[in-house]
Amino acid sequence: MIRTVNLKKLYTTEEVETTALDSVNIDIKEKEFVAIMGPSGCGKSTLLNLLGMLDNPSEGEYYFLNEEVSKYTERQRANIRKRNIGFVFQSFNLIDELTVFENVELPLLYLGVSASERKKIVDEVLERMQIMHRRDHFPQQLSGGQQQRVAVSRAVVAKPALILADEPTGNLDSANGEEVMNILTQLNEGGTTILMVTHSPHDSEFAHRIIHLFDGHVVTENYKEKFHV
Amino acid sequence: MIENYLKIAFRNILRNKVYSFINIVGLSIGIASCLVILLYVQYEFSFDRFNKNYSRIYRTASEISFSGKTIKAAVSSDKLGPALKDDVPGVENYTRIFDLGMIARQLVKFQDRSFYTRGFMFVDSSFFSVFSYKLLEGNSSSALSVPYSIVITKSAALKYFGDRDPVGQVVQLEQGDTTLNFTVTGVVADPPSNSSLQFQFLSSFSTLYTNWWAHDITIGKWGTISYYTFILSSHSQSAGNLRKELALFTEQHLKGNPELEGMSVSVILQPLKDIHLRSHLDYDFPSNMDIQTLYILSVIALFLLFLACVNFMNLSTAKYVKRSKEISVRKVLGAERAQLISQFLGESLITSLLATVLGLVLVELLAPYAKALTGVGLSLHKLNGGVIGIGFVAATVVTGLLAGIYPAVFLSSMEPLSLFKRTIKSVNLGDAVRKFLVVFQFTISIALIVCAIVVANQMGYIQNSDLGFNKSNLVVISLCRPLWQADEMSRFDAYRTEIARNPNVVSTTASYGYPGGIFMKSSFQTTGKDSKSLVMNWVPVDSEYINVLGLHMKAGVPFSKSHTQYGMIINESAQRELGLNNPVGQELVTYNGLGNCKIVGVVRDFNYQSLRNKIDPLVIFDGKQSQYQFLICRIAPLNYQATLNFLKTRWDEIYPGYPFDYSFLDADLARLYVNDGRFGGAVNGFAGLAIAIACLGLFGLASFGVQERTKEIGIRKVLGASVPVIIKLLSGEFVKLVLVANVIAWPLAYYVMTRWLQGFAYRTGIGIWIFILSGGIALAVALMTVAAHAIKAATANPIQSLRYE
Repeated sequence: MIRTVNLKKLYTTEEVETTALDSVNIDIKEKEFVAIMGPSGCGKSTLLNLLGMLDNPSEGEYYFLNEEVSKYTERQRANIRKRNIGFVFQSFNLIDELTVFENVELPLLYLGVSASERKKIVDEVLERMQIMHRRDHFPQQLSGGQQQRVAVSRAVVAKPALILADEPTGNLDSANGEEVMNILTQLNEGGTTILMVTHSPHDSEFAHRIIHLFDGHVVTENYKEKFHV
Repeated sequence: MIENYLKIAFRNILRNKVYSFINIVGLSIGIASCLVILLYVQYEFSFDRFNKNYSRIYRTASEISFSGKTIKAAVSSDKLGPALKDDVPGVENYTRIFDLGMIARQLVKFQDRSFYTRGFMFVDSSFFSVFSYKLLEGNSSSALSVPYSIVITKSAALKYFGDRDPVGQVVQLEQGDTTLNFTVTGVVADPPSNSSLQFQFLSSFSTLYTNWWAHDITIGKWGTISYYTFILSSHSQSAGNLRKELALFTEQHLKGNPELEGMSVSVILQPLKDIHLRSHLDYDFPSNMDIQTLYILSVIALFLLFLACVNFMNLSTAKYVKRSKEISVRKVLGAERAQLISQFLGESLITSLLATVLGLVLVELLAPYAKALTGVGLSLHKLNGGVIGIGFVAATVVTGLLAGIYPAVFLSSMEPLSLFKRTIKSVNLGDAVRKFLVVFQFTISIALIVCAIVVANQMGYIQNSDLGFNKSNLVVISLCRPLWQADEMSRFDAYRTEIARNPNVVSTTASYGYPGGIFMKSSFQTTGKDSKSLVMNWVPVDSEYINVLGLHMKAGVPFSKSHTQYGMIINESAQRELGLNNPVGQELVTYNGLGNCKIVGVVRDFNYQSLRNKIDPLVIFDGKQSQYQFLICRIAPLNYQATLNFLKTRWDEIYPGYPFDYSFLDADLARLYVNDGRFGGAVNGFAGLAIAIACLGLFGLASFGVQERTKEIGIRKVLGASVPVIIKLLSGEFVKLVLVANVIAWPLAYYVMTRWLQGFAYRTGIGIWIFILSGGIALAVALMTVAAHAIKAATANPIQSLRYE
């Protein structure tokens, strides 16, 4: 599903050039659950930006579903992104002015799904995520765990093949964190590929494979026997 | 999708109350002032277009050349209309108009009711077929066919006849010592206010060919150019063709015509719809105005709207920091740029929709103020629903797009921020544009403040400048009866003697004219070798004139009571322009029928006309009683109302049936500057609006500025910065912008106002203090606006500021 060849990202300010990622080669198969770990500033967020097609690499190739996308324009990237990738963030990133239902509805809106269809799909997802009773509330009225469940609902509502999760439990207590990890696992079992950045060794236990980043390089990859392609 | 946009737009408006208030109120002020101005412009453009055939109606004016001079006059000979109808193909009809009111006010009487009117016209019976004035009673084709028939307006009918049926009644027009009787044959609706022709009485043109008028030499010749002629062209005739035909007509009928007595006259064609705004001929309609004024007003209207839109732009882009998360999330979820642009445009359209609704309310609230300024009742009521509908949609869309397009493009162009971080780093973009726009707003505001002060200053100068005579406490009474008959003369003497008994009537003088009024013009010539000829104003007065007005003699003596008939006192300008060193005792050849007259004195120059003009040469004649039209009384300043009542009571006793018609001379003088006063009022209004809009915007920007810098303020305070230092830090940037605006505004305003002042022969200077004051006002208002936020932020507990992060 994902293959990168010598991916490199440089950030240049007026005076300083920083190499955030260098020679990153990763290969992620469909239905895999991969965790990315590493200390602060090792390039995890940059890697997620590139893999999530929110940014283009400075050098190297990026194959997404066998399509080389590293030189694509924002418009082309947006088009692939909205069809194939769902995002879960540490700080949830729900839009404060929209209700739970409307937040979850957004990806479908940008896919041009009809209103009646949207309502059906969103309600179904909210039901599945057990957040239906909060359907018409605004994000500030929800607990952290509930907000993250809304965020996960939004990530999965368009049935993406890949979910990119950035520290999904980072702002949650252990009980809520456990719940979110269970949801991700269920999704993975249902066939969704999951790529998760985490600091937590506990969370990484849920993954089939852990990629360690350090100073912009991939240092190790640990496979677990759980996963068989 | 649209539903989603609307929802979020409304929620944003409700959530950010201060921000929405500033946007909506600011925009509504801009929209309202823009609409008021456009209503006025539209009104001026609507002149004479109520005529069904307005596109086919033309006025035939005259270009007259004689002794090397060429003038263009709105009038033509009475022979032109009939000749054009006979000889020029495509001229379907004509109507001639002779405006008696243009010469003087006319006294029209019915039994015991008598009123002065300036709306007395003689028109052809075809008047109602050429124009669309609505005849309410009477037959439009025959009402004006017979001499001494008259059609009066509805309001005049009410004034004279009350409930009685006007048709068949006889009204009297006093002309000199004759009284003419006119039989009412119809009632016409009052002409609308946007009609160039303003009349109360329409009499038959054929009346002018009766003995009363035709004994004069003023009719029936090609050389008597005194009559408006309007023609109605046939549907097929174009203006271009008509002009060609008229050139041919001029060639055939007017060239070398002996009746023209050496003048060369050609016919000018003026479309009716262009007369009000584009015609500036001699003897033109007094209501005409300059189209330039309307262009300037339209530009100001758009400026005010744009100033208000600037607030929206600035606040929307400044709010970017707050909305960057939403924009990023939407982009990450697959929103395309076009979708974001339409979302933001949707928001600005909703804001402008609300602002337009409020703006329309404001228009109605502003209507009385606009009426005071323009003299026109501008109201939305007068427009039909369709126009309001279109205007409403247009105002909403224009404002929404003007205000929204930049923020929409700007906000949607942002790269999505990294959402994969604990906190989203705020970026402050578009700062340079915002600063530029703030400078722009304040430049306009300061320039307008300068203009307002200069105008006020000049008006004050006019009010207080020494005119060379004492203009206060002078009452001018119009003499309704000509004095050339012995009994009228003794009646006048009786009145004058009677009122002189009142100690509050200090002194009286009789004259043909008074400062601020009308003077006659004639040619004068010096005698002797290097004889010099000059056209000058002249006025016959009695022996008290110099004394009552408080004029100062430079040489010679005032007229004495023992008549030095037709002795002359000239003013300094006349002396100068005639080139006379010792004028007293010299004779001038006059061409006003008085023969050679002797100069008995020179009066110091006094401003008897508008201060816009230099003092023209003036000849004051020791006149005959028969020439007097006014009695000028200097009254004591105390109890002037009682004195006026006294003057009126005695008048009513001695002149029963004639209106006591008076004015204060200083008020008549002030009337010369009515338009300047209106201009001043408009500039004041514009300046006030501009600074209000600019400050609203500044208030919003300052509030965002403080929010953005919360963390910086906290850190600075933790490190020991004092409250004044923080206030200075937060206000300093805005102060700088206002100062920059001053630098741009000053030369701009100086240039504009220097040109405006050039319209006055007597004017004040533009002192540097005006600029400093204007800049100071803008700075003070801006500082007060910003200070509220700055003080609040500076005095807050630093821990709170830091906790926000």
